[in-house]
Amino acid sequence: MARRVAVIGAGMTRFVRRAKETSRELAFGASRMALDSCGLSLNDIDCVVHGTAPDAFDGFHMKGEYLSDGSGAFRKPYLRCYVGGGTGVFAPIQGWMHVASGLFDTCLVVCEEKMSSCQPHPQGAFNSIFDHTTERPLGPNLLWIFALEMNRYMNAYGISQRDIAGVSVKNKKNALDHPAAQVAKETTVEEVLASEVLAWPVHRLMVSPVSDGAAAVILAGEEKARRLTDRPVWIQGVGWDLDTSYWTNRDLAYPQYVENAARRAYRMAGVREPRKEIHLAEPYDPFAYKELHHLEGLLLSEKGKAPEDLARGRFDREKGELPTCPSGGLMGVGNPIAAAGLMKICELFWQLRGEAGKRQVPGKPERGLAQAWGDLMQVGTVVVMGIK
Amino acid sequence: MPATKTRQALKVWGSWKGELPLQNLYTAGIAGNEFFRVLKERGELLGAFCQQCEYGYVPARSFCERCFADLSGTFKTVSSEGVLLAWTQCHRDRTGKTLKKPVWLGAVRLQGSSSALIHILKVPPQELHAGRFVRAIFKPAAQRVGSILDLSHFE
Repeated sequence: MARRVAVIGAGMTRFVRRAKETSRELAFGASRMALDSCGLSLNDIDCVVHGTAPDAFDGFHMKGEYLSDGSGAFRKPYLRCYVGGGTGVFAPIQGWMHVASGLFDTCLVVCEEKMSSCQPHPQGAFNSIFDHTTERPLGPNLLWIFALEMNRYMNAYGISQRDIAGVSVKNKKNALDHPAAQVAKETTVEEVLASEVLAWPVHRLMVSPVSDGAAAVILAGEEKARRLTDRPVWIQGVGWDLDTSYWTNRDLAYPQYVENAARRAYRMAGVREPRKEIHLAEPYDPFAYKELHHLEGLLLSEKGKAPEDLARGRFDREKGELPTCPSGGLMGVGNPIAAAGLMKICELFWQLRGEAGKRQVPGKPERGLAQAWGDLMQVGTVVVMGIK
Repeated sequence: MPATKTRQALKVWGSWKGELPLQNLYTAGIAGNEFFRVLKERGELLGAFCQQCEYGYVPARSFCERCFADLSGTFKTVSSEGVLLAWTQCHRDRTGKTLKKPVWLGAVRLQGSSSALIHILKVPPQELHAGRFVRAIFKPAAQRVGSILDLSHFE
């Protein structure tokens, strides 16, 4: 039987367009803040897990090793994990394994991304994820794929761009209360729909930005956690799942792999009715439609019905029955890929401890979920956290 | 790669050339900016010092990787003289071609530093031995641009 594992500290840097800090300095900033938040020093950390996305972003290979000093890994067991955009929620799962297994009592989990280094645009780093013979000659970028997936989602359920634009409005508004946010803004559905079309049906205000930033959490086994804090936030369930690597062979309207990952996490957490037992969620929202797409995969909305739930305010932070992306998400706080996913874990930690300040979800939530998505757009990573 | 270029590349049936078309705009960072500013403006090398770990980092770093202390308030220049810890005589370049003239590289521990700095050595080969004192030679001020190559070599 695995040991119980809690999150006992969290920290993050501001998410910005181009940070003056190096990648290492960003990782250090978040790690130091997470340690300070629970009164620990580097000596108290038994092992380190680092999460970061393609080496190409920062422009050097062996990026995990390069970043190890800022991640506090000096002469410690160290592991870098990488599942593309899913990394930020997968890294704490790796950390959970380290501690739940009994190998280590404490683990520092750090995620960092410095996308601004990548020129002329980080999209270039993604060109090589496409098949070199059948797809790359077309000159694709990620926006093209997401535009096709969004359109498939719209066609399958009769959803309009207007139905989806509300995600941008909600998340950018939520982010106004996040001190680390990059693209917080009071906006309207009309303004979102009037913004530039990048690849129809995707408009500029439906896309998260290019960002630099880092986030970190401290994990501890049950005995240690109870000694170090009277408010541990437990990792109750974890799950991850991979669909086919051919994006052409996936059901673009429904992320089955997210459902599979969520079912694993719910089973471990003892959650039978997610819509009643999950009190807030941080679904992955690099694009506006992805939040809705993912909420359906997470079984938190009926298939094709998340836009209706959004429209009737179900996901609102103040009055909604299931607040989603109370942080402001990637659409509002920013998207330094791996750090953005771990930011969602930080948000659950602060929300479930009642420390989210102006962003605090009312009603003393007891259980939340964070999810990320990535690899070749086919991995789902899910963590369920709670105070019991 | 554009389709036209791809077709041109299909010269050998069954394969074609591709590339990862990326450049990088690297960030010197908080400590790095200071290191390169001092190197350019004063022709000196800046270090950072952790009192707790008794460790001096050259180039300067903004934090100590050993104890996570913030070192941004500890920057000071170090001596341009140090000890040669190790050296090599290189005959091939990074594409595998033979160099016209060999290049000598050394790992140098400057006085006041705990870490080594790797740079080009210009020491008569018969004098190369670990423990030899070497001195940093900087480019003239007018030629310095804020690069590690503002330090010309050790001799």
